[in-house]
Amino acid sequence: MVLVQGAIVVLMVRYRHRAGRKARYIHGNTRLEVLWTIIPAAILGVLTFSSKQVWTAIRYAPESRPPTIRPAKILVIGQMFKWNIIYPGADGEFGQYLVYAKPTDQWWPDRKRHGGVNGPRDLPADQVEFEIERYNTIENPLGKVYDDPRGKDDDYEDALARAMEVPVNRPVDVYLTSKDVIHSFTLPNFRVKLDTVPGLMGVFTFTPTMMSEQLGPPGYFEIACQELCGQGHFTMQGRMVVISQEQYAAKHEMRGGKADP
Amino acid sequence: MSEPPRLNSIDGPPTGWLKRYIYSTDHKIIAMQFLFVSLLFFALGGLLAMLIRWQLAFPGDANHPVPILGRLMDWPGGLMPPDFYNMVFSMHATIMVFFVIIPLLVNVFGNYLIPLKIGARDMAFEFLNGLSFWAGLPAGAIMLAGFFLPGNAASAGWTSYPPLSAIWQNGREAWPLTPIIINFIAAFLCFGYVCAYGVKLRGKFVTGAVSILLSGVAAWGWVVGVRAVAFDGQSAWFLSLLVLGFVSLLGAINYITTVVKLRCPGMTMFRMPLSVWSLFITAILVLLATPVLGAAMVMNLMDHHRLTGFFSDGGVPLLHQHLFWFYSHPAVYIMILPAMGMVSDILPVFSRKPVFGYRPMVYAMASIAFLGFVVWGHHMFQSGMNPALATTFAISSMFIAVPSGVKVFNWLATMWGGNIRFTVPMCNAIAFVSMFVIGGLSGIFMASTPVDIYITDTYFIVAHIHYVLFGGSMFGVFAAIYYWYPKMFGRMMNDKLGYVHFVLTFITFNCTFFAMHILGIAGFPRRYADYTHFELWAHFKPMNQFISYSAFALALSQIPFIINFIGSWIWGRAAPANPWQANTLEWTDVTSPPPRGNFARIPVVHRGPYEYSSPCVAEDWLPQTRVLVEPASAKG
Repeated sequence: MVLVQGAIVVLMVRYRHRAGRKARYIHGNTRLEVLWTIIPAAILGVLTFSSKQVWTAIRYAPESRPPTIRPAKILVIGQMFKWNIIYPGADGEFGQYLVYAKPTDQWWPDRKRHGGVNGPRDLPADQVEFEIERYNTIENPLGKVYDDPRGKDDDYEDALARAMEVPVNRPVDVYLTSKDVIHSFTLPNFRVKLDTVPGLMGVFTFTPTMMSEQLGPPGYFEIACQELCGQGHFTMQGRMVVISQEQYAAKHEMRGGKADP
Repeated sequence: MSEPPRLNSIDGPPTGWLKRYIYSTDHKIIAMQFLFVSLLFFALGGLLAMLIRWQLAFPGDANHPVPILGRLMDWPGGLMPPDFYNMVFSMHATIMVFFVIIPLLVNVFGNYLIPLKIGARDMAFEFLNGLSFWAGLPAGAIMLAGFFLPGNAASAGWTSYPPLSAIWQNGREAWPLTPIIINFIAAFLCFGYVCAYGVKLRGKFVTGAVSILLSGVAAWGWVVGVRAVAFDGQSAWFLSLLVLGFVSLLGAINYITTVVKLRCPGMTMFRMPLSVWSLFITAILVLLATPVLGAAMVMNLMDHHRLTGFFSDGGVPLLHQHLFWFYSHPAVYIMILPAMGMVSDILPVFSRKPVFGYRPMVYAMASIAFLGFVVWGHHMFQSGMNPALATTFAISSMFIAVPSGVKVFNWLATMWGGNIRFTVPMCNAIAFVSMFVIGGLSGIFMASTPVDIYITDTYFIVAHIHYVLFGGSMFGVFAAIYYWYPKMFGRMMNDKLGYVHFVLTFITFNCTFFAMHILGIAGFPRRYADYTHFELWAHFKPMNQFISYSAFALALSQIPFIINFIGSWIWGRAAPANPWQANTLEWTDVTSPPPRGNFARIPVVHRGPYEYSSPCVAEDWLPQTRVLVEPASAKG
């Protein structure tokens, strides 16, 4: 870029108008054209393939890493305007979320699925819709499917807008989805970001190498939303704390039995 | 001696001022109508940008309430609410892209230059050409209506990603009076145009009174229909772009047909000026890409009315992004190719030298256009689409830089060894090359997928698109306006004001947008109404204020241009036919301004458009139509 700008200035000065001089009469030069097609193409080719390796490391890590490495898994559900953080517990697998009772569900399809809460079938018709709305927003805001065995040991109760905790020096797989509109889960300090799309599950991997304590104040990393999601878009701020591997295992991987070795 | 000019295929020679100046089918009048309307929209879009900059300089700062608008809108403390801010940047981008840059490049210069430069009397379909302007008015009116609807105009960004864009901004309330009046007038004018040329009763054109009645009824029906479809700002946005898409298609069909069929004798495809080539290629892009936008808009409208669930309510949100970018990425080239073409015309004229590598320039534009259709996914690297797809799009996006680079090198080589005259259009054209290089190279960062993870949705993107669209396209447009103004209006523009405008714009533009790169590298997010609660970005407030002051200065720098534009029309010195000693037909074979029907006699072309400083003649220019007694040794 600097070279081109320099060239422009040089050409502007060198070939400024002088009376009585005629410009050179040149139509082009095939060798030059070929040269300045092939050289940039080669440079760009190298750039592309070096990019691809980094990209694969970030986006394909769960499939490509050796099975001996056990990542920390975290499910993030974007919602207007907060981040909900769910840990999978000891089994390392998430249950199903974001399955909601529909406005027409006077009977729940089955009681177990909705955590033992009765469907509003005994209520008068005009209250049913309100009751279902209340259930979906207050009693089960994440739409958890209670009869999914994988979700039995999930740590989801305090999920709403809590700080995310990740272990240091261990790959973290962040699974991303959204409850309402598209958000973008961004960790500016870690140079990672991915949109959370309703109905899709995205995943990326990063490895923190420094604990928040070592960072000094404020003692956390900021999470931001970087895809326009409504009028509170800029307020969709979250916190991420990097803790030691032992702390992480004790807090988030013991639930529902011992952590797999 | 001269054949009678074919003036108008529809109604014979025009009679009356109405058909001559207002409902004209003359391509030059239509181009000027587009020019005036686009420049008005440019002012509106620019004012919206000032609001954005005010908010970012003083977020939540009670000491700096928004001037005028704060009191007018009765905001608490005069501070802009965040949803209003979302509306402002969404509409800024929408207006600048769809109602300023695309019409300015494609419709204004496409209309004006194509027939004149290829030696045609007018466009192939004159009525359709006029319709593309008059049908554009209702599209603009629907977009403007959004501002007056309760719940603001569209606020989901210029990309309008569902499900956010599917959320209703207000219920189905009745429209206020202002948008109804605006839409009625626009539709009335449009139907009036159709009546003037298109409606016959018993084999005769309808009279004025009947036209007025018919247009009034049709416009009323139109407004009722529009109100039913566009009940809030977002649905107005979708509908407006749908209508605008039709308008673009009318233009594109016309340009392609004109270039293919109406070239004058001797004007082979490879003797066409590069601006005509670029507009021709652009028209093909418009023709192929716009229907996809139209389809996306229809699907979005139906989703918005809760009739379907293509994108939201259990649909696939990414589908909208694919459809939108399948149009909007080619649209990026729609917004830059004509500027490239016009700059390729202006550089040789003022370097007094043939363009370097004419054919490689054409091939480069064609390959940019082709590659433009297979790179849309680079807007979606972080959208959650399949990561394998991202690599594919990264490769194609990287390689679109190659033909762009070829063009830049050719422009430089055109200047090399030249005899450069630093006129105002030349300064703007050189600025175009210089700014386009910065904008183009920052694009390569985004094409690299891992780098894009960090910089996407930050101010780096904002800096990039402004370097390409303002630094590129707008400097191209300024160059073109300064260059062709004498032809359009028959008056010379004031050089001093022109230099003042150029220097101020160039400096303030770079102060405004270069700093945004630095913000972007720090991860500073776009579309944030307030950033002061983030530890990471709060300390960028002084920098944002610097950008804002530069942006205000940039806006003020346009005042000399406005004075020059209007003043020269009134007081400007009468322009000779060929003030720049250029070779192409619009300068050598017609007066300034050209009469209706353009050429007294259809010219015959003997050589390419860039024969400057040819050894065959004593002067440093050799018009395309000049007959040399001795056979020219020059190829071309």
